[in-house]
Amino acid sequence: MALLQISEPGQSPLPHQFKRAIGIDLGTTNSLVAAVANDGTAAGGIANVIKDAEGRAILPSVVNYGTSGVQHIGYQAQAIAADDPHNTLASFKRLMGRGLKDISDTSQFKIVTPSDASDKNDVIRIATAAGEITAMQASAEILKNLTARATDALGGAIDGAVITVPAYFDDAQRQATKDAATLAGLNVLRLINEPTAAAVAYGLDKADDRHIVVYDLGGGTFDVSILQLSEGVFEVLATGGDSALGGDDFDLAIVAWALSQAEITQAELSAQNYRRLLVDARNAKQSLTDNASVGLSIQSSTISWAGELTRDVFNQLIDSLVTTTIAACKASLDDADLTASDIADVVLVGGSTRVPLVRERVAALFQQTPKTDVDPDQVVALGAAIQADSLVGNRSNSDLLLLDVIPLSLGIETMGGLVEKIIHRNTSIPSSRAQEFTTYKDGQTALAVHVLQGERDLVSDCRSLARFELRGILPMVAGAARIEVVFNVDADGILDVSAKETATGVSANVQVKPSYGLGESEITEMLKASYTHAGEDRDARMLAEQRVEAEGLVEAVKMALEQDGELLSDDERKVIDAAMGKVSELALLSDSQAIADAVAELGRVTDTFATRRMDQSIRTALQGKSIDDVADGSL
Amino acid sequence: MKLEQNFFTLLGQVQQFTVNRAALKKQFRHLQREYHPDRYIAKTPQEQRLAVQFSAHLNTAFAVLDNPVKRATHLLELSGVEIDHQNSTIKDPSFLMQQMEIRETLDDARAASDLPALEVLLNQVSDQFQACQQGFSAQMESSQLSSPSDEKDLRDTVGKMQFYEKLCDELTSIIRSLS
Repeated sequence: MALLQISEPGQSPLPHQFKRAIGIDLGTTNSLVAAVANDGTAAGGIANVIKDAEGRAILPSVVNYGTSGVQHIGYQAQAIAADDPHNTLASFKRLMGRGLKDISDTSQFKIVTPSDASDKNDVIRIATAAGEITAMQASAEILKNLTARATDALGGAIDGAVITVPAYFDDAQRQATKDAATLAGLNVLRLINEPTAAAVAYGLDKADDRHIVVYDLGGGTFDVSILQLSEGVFEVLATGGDSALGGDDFDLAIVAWALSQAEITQAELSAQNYRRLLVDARNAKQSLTDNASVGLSIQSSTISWAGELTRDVFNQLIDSLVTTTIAACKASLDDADLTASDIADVVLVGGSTRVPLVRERVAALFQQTPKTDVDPDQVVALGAAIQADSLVGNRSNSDLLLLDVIPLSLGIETMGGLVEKIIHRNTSIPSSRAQEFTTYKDGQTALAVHVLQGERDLVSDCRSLARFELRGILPMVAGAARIEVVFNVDADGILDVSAKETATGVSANVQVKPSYGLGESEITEMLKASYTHAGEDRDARMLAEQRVEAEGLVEAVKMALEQDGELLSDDERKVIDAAMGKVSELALLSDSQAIADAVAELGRVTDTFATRRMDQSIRTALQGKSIDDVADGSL
Repeated sequence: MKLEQNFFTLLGQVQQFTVNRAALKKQFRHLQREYHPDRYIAKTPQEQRLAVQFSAHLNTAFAVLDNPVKRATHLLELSGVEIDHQNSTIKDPSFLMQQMEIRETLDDARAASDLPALEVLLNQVSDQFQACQQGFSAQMESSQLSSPSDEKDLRDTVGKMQFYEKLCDELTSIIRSLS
């Protein structure tokens, strides 16, 4: 007979509870959601893609808007895209965190020209029947749909999600992705790079030390990443690619070929007929994976053309595009100080890697058959699900740790329109760097800080991320002030900049205005609007979220007190206990603002405790003792 | 939070120029596995913030010890010798002459897109960079840091290392763009 287990007083009597964690591949063409089916073992279960009611894994990243908001999404939206092109948004991932001048071809979108530049930033807005829509809002609809799907399948609210982004995404694009999640009411555990997720899905984290190339050719983005795996730690050694190159361009090449064969221009086709041709081109491309040739036609009231596209001709059409990807692979190898023969595994990701020419060229470069046994459309979502499962602590013995790098250098504008790099590309994140600057004129009391991302020396060649002003500098002679600008990049690759004058100790407030992102207030407005549309009770939801946060914090503080309570004096302990009691007490009532205040207060009074714990832990770690010894109190 | 400013102590290495790269990397990864923000998802926001800070500090420390010029600079700084990379000048005439010759060979080979010549030059410069590093290591062991002349010699050697590092980077990127 099994013995009954009794827990020690004060220790958690609850059995280990699995959290509902999901992985989302938010793609340009298609999106997917996956989760790990937990079987109760420490090793963790198997990741599966969660399908919709019709049994389909993929949700096309397409949203159709009507006068009362979102009308159709996914396959339904795709089906009516040709009939309602201006209200149907597709490939909007290309607009995430971007300004008008970043996008070479916006013909597929009905862009709103900013009428008053003074009050709005440079976010691209698209005119639809439901009003002006940003890429972040459309992405939020995709995220909401996938989250609802996961909530049904997993039988309850989702605790957190890992969302994947192209490794090449800059700060503004990553921030835009997080904003989309905020709009969708989703708790983001971490943004991870798509190629890294793919390597995780292949279980390469369990392999020996090796170098891995992930070649990811999706609908609208191309990424190549060189990963190093060593002692269970993934490191991204180099990333390269093109955030505006993908299978959609193969389709466009076929469209251009068909138009030239038919001797007509795009202008001669209606928007509907052009959409139809695009869909036909995509089908033709897919058909050429298994067939040597495929028929193609253009039919309208004035035009009638039919032709035959062979795989050889198709290969010629896309040759320069594929060559671009191969050149990016070589450049990334150089960045990582490796040659093709150093690569142990090549993983293919993205539906476009089914194109035979792509497989041939990749195999030729790395002189090996690339891995394809996990569905290239699903592999990223599956890897994200595994990482999400690990981050929430469902797989207790997981040694998996992803160490990431920043894809593009970060810097600020200096005199003469030049960029001074502060954090160089391929620097490991999180990262923190400070740089000192000084004033240019006598008596200067303010300083304009312009934050940029990119590799080039001129401001005009880099992407503008944000501008802010540092005010309140004491008047001094030129060059006497010492202004310290601090760049902090978190584990999601998102930048936070602060500046202060150090010579006099005057620190001034800094407000960062994202150049291509949504402001705090705009996000709040959009959230309010979406509640109205969905008929949700905003206050009820906010209260529920506050309660979850309060419970999580109390749990974490209790755990910390159990482990390291001796680091506090009796008086300090009393203050924390009181603050904790207040949070627990208020969480039972329904004043969400009071809960938020109590949570903030508990955070404040545990600040010193947290620092002492960290100091003790690090001191012990540096002395060669394991953290477990400290936790066990055997120090 | 107290952040250990001696990166050798932080990453468990002997405070000297020659480092065991494998051991360095191993200790770095061991610490990242404990303190990376991914390990603090269920902790309080305060602890999460500290983890981000410490993890970033570990990344900086590793980047410094992993690079010869930065490592040498850090070693000197720990001994109280500050180096201003932007305003330091090298007056050694034979070194400057040699640099000019290398520069000429580089310009000629680049103008002629002479890839083999550039590769030969890169090998030469890499060897000189290596020798310079060994020189620094030996100087460091035998030097009296209280002596101003020894201090100047060490500073000059770091300046020369920086020259070689830049040349190697430049040559590598030219070779890359030509091939």
